[in-house]
Amino acid sequence: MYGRLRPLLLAVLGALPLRAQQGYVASPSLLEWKAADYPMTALLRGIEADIPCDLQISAAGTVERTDCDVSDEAGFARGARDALEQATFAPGRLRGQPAPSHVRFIYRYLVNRERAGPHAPFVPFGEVRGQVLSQGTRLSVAGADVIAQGLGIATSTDARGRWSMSLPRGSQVLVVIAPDYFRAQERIEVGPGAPEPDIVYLRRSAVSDLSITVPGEKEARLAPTKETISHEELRNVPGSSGDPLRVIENLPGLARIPYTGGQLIVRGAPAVDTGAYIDGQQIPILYHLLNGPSVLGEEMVEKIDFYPGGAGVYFGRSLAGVVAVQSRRGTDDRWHGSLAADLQKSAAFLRGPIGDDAQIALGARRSYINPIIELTTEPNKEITLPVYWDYQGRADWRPTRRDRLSLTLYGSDDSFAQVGGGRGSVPLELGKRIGFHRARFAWERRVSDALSFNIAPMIGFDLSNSSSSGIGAGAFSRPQSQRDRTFSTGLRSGIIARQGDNLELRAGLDLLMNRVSYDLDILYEQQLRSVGAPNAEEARLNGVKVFSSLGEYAEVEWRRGRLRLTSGLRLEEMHWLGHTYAVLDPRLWARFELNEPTALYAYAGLYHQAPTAEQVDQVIGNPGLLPQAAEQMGAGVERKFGDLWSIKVEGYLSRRRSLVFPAQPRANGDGTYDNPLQLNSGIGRSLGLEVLIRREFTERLYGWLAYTLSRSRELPGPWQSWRPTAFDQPHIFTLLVGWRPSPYVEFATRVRIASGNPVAEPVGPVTFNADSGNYVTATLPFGATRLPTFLQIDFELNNIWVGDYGRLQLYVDFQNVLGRRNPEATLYDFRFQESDTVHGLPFLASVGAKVSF
Amino acid sequence: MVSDLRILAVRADPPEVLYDPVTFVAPPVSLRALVVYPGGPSEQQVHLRACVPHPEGPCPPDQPWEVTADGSSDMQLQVLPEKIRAALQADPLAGYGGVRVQVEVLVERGNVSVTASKLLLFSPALPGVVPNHSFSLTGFALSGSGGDRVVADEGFIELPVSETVWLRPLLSPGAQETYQVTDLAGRTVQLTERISYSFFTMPHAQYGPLGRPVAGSDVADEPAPGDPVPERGLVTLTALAAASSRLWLVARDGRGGEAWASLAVQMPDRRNCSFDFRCPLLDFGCL
Repeated sequence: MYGRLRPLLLAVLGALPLRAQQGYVASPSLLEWKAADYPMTALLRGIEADIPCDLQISAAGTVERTDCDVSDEAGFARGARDALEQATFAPGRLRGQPAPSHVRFIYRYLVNRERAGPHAPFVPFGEVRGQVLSQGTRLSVAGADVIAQGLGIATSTDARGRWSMSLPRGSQVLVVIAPDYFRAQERIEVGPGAPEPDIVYLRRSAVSDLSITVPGEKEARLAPTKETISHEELRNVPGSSGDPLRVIENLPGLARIPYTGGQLIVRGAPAVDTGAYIDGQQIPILYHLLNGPSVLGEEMVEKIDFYPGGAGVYFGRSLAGVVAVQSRRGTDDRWHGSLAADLQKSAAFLRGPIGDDAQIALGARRSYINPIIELTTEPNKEITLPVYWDYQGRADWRPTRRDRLSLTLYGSDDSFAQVGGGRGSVPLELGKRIGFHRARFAWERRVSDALSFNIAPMIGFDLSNSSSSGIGAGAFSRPQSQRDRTFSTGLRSGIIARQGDNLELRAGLDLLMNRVSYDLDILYEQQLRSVGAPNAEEARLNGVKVFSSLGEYAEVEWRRGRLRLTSGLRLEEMHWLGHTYAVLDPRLWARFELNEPTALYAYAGLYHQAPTAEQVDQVIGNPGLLPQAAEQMGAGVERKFGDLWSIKVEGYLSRRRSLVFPAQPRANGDGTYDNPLQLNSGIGRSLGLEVLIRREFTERLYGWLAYTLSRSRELPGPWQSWRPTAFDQPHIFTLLVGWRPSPYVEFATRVRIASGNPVAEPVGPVTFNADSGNYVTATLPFGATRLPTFLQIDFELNNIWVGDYGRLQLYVDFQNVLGRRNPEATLYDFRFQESDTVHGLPFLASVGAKVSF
Repeated sequence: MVSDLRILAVRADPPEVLYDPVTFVAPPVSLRALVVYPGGPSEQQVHLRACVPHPEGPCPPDQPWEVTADGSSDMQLQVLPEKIRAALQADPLAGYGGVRVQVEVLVERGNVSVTASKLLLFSPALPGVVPNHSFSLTGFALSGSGGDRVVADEGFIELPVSETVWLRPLLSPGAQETYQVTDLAGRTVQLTERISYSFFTMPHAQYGPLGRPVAGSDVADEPAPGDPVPERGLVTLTALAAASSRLWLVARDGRGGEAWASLAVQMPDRRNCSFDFRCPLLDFGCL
């Protein structure tokens, strides 16, 4: 037990006038006072406090007004105020005369820690211990007060929500109090032995985060052009069906994709030009086939960084944007998990600690044929049946305070089969399976406060099978099959060295090697000139191809005053089919803070990307193709309004060159011909302005408004004319708002307005081509006309029921609540006499449930 | 489905013409269009002209028609040497695979007109050059509830309402030629023609299973050598309602050769509507 109570009025730290008064020559001084009572619960817990109070002292030396502006539950401020109101002062003096004055006092409560003599309890005591957890999530509640009612004995929970104290034996009542939670009370029996821990679950009273997210650390190596979306913002976006990677489709710079998305068209560039990374390793596909969800389950996503442009030298091999996903670590307090199911898929997730220094997280999903589609589809009608599964696992271990080891396993498998009609003699069959698996080991070591490094080797296995028959005209309808197996090895290693706060050097290696073994039985268009249907040649090919790329990068970040400058250089050596190229990508960005809430920034950089495997294929492509290149530059301003609101405006220009396009054969004039099939003949331009007005996630409200003004065009070759890219959308507007009126209910809505995609509208006379059997007509240039403007409003409602050990979440996702028929394409009959419009999603409602603990 | 004036095919005979490589003189080409009109016979005019191929469109609209025929669609076209030379000079592949001259056919029937285009291939008459030859369709092999039989071109079949028959085109001997070409990479390749078929019919009959037209049910390909041959036929024809109809079959060899055949189809209704639950769905006359 602690010794005597000794409340102490320390001193007048400054008899400073709150208003400047000329000629003030003497401060008031304390003459008489009476000590305040020390709050009992604070005394028992040894809590001390400094209570600042403003006093108004009269010319007679009495206290006329006391304002102790610190509110606390323990009662320190109330006691200080009561004591000071009874104090007497020698008044302050002005030009020798007593005068009223204002002074600020610090009333300090100190505990005398000298031990008192032995104190025998008047009844036998017993030890009790317990834990305070949040209801539903079972998260630890730290700093909760646990008070034995009527005994004046109390304690607080530690970081893991644990507490212990000695109480008189017998039946006792405990009261548990914590901010943002309802008060809980329970009766316990205190006995002589060591009891089982008593667990109290507190129910939330304030709207706040119900997830089990630990916000990720901000990585210093990443350029500031990115948009980061936290897990909290990712959860309940309408139209995303709980898929976090769908959420970034609502940011500036992303074109709207028909139906439910599935491709990332960043600043007008094709989807293949945007790189997708998980923990720094590039993955072959980001979404499951046929507009499926992303390959990483929602629970495994810690955060997503999206770079529409200006990505740093850490990233390479992509001409356009970068999507970098950081996976989640396991929790270190206890095991958590979830089970979710809807009409298309089921998912399970589990994570927790293994000992004190290791954590593990596991997740898996599997889709199935929507039973409603199965019931409503006519037999013999062409139907595509996609099925996928994916899995994720991550284990982390901290063997020392400076080292962290992690092992990440993830993969996915997609397959679909299409059955139906065909070309008479050959029934239509189309099957495809694509899968990938990755294992990544990472070691991070902090050598000192100024130096750290990491190394992360990776191995992977990809498979790709496809088969078809009855597709295409003429000989192309014959059966074909393709079977690829790819073994990948990769290595990422980096070092970060800091000198003070103003200089940081980051350098690293990025190696990726793919060994593709292929077994093909394909039909390809012969290098012949056909009349009508193209001539097909059957080829049975098998062998091994090796594609590799080694990137070395270094960048220096330099800060001076309000200026932050990062310059970097990436050297990439690309190798394929006997060709090796080395490209150098310098990149620079700068940021200047005009004042605290306002900053300007600009960036410029060079980016290179290898052609695809098909484009450099010896049979159907051109192995002599060069790497494609892009110059990205942009400038912007960002300004914060308070802690919650911010606006960011960025203009950009992306110039792409050496783009790969199909080439036409040419006669050389000597009786020979040149038929390269593919050439680096194209160039492209994207120009735009992006605006993002964002409200950070708070207790009740979050969201953003994104607007993109852009123009994306391409020139396939010198023999053609400029045309808009396939998804060139000059105006894209997205409004996203989430609102939580209570901790257990959330409404979210999304409004999207976008320009229609460019089309080639048929206008000319229609002629029957007797050689092919088709009708042909002239069209306006692609992009001369567009589809009508797209408008869609989505709405999602989440309701959560919470029990002690878990919670049940039900969501209803309404897409296109206006039921607007948005045109996505125009179809013409075989003679271009009649047309019909393919509309986007009709009004659609989906439901899902998720149980988590 | 043919419901109005259509050109279904244009046949050139020979499909590949040999020209003098010095004078560019070529023999005349016989051209015939398969013009169909469900409304029955009436006056029609057929016009023909030839031009240097245009990548995406017809011949220049101000170019005069070179041949005009009343009634018949059989015409003779003499392509002048200047036109062959001009087509050769305009060709980015300098005549590889034959000099291509585009012919355009205009059919006028009252105030309705339709156009079709076709490439005529002109190859230099040099040693070793073997031109593509014409082929023909001799008829159909039918397989149905009445058994298997063969019907010659321009023949007649009876197909009761709601019944289905399998069709298999019959080609003239040697229709699928084997030929040798040098590809654009300079490799010599041996190829065999692959005949592809397009089937047409008038209302009240349809290709594909009863009441359930399937995409692609009116196109088929001649099985390649070594590929399994469908046992009963390539496509099915189903009678939907009592009517007199006609079917046409157009075959293309992929090198400019075209042929066609047709059948008259009588579709009587022999069902007893009071006992056949499918009647109201199929025969509008029963309702």
